[in-house]
Amino acid sequence: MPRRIPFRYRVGLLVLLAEIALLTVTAVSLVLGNRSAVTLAGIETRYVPLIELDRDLKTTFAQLTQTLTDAAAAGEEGKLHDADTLRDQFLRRLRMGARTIVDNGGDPTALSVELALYYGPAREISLSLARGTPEGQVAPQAEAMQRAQFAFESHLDAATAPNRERLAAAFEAARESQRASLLIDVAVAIGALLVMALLSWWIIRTTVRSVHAVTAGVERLAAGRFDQEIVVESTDEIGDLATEANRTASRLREYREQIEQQHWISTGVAELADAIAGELELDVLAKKALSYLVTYVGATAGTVHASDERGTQRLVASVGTVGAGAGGSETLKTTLPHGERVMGVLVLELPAPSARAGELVARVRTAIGIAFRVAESRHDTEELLRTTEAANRELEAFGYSVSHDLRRPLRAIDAFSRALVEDCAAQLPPEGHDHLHRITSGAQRMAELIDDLFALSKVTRGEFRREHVDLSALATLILGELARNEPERRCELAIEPGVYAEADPKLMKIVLENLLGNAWKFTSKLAVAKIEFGVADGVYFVRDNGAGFDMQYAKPLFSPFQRLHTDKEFAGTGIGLATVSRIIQRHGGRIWAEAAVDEGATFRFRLAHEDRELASHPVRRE
Amino acid sequence: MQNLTRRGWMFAVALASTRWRSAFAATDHFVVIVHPDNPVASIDRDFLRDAFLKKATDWSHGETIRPIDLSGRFGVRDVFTREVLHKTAAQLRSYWNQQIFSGKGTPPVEADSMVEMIDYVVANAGAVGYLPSGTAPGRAKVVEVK
Repeated sequence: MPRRIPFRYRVGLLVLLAEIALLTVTAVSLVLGNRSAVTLAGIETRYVPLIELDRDLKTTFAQLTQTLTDAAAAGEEGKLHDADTLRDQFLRRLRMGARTIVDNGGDPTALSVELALYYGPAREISLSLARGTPEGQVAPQAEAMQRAQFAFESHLDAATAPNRERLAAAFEAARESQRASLLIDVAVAIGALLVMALLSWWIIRTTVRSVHAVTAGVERLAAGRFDQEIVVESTDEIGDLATEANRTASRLREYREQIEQQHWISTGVAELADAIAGELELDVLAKKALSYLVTYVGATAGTVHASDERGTQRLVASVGTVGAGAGGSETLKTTLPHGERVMGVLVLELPAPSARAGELVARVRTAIGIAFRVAESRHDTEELLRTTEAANRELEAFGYSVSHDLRRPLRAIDAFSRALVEDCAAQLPPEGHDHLHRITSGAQRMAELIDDLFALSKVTRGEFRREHVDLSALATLILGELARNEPERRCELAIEPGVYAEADPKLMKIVLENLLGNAWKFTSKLAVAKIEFGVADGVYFVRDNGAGFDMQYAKPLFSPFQRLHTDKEFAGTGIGLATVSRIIQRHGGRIWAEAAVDEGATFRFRLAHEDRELASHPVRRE
Repeated sequence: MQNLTRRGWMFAVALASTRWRSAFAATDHFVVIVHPDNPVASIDRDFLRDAFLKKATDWSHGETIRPIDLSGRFGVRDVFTREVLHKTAAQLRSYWNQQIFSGKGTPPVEADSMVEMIDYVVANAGAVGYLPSGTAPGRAKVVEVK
């Protein structure tokens, strides 16, 4: 296919050719018309002088005869001079038109001779008549004269009358020329028209074909078929359009391939995740992952090795025979990392190099590594849990039996001490009473300790259930109870209303009883105590203006049996805050304290892990 | 001189003929003569006129008409001119001038005497002429003018 002229040039060419055709037709028309005109002009130049000559000569001759008549009638011989003048005039005109007469086939010399032959007698007759000669007497001369006149006039007619045959031939030639002009004109016009029509048809055909090709191509693009190129060989504007459309198509094809590859990879990742989800057995996990990958990427063979902490590798999964593939096959080998550690090695044999398979493997290797690590750690954790649980159970049994077994001797001590006071009060000296009282109170304190320890063990192990708890109401209830027991105390209570939490209600009661109880207890020496409860930014707090403590001793505060104050100062077992801490921990939260000696203390706690704060944000309802 | 004399003659003839004509008004002062072989017995006045003005060229039997006039010396010519040709002498002269130079025709020949007239008529087959009444026509044939 030859390179085509651009469309605009083609149209320009067409217009140019149309103009040339028009000019040609016009020029031909003009030339032919001119030829006809020339022919007609030839006729004119040839015959107009002849006609004029004919008219002039005949007019002059008529004047001559009239003058002769007048001279004869008037009897004036002088008039004959006029006649002579007219004769001379006639001869002059004859000489002037001699060439014309010759061209017309006449003989001017003969004519002048014949004129003389006529004029002489005619002049004589006129003269004699003018002199009075009776007309009858001139009759014979007149007859002769008239014969001469007739001969002369006949010859004049013949000489100056247009030759009919020649004139007819000339007009026929002119007509012929006009007919030929018309024919040539029409032929040229039709030819030009045909050429124009052919050119137009060619341009329209090629253009329409290109436009059809482009339209079909663009429709294919619109339908999402980018694989077929638009075939337009022309280098005109439509060709440019087609090239652009093809470029767009190839870009779209690339994008689609990229998207398809991404989709393929994402699907692979997601399906692999589904395949190995919940599988904690490392060998099974490896087999499932390998089997899935081999199928998905179309591998011919594959292996997975797992490596332990010491780097010892063992084959955990295998499909086909690695290394048996035909030449030219592609081997993908990648480690399965978890952080710094290599958890295993994955090998896949592909029938042909595949970029997307490589990318998929690159995307999943870490995930498989993590899964391996999880499986491995799960294995460790289960071991640990099993050991811990056994130890816990033993501890619990021990704690229970301790508290239970200790209670009985304590009750005995208590009971017998009381019995001794009741039964032998009279026999005992005051010192004995004092001793007995100490024994009793010691036993009671021991019982409290045992109860608290029991409670602590129960807190750690017992049932746990989150509910919507109104902490404000709970705090009001607890402080009200405390105030009733010591009505003589003056205390300013600031309980923020509408503080709620998603927590275990029983455990939260223990938390608040302990924290508010502590606040109540450590403010007992103040004239005006001040206790606050509220929440700020998801952190609950209990604040008092009591004894406080030195922050450098704050660390062991939440361990059992750690006390910062003596029993003489403030009563207590030292287990309360440990219990609170356990409960808060069980809720996934954290507790901490801020204090200074004699400046009060503030205990703050969260009830959820800080990361999950949004999920279980404490709600404040006004 | 000769010319003057001729004019004087013509004037005298004209005077005389006028008087003569008035004296013989409404009477035929001429007779029309033709060639003795001419079959016509009478001649129409208009035909006669046409013949003498050369407007008619042939007799009914095919002979060419050859008219002959009398010289102006004879008074009967004026009568003939007036009564047959319905023209004065000047009118006739003018007529013939026109005819001569336009090439249309020539005037009839003139006879200078009665004898000459008769001779001409007898000599030419198609001839026609006239004579004053009372003149012997000789061998010429007199025809009636209607």
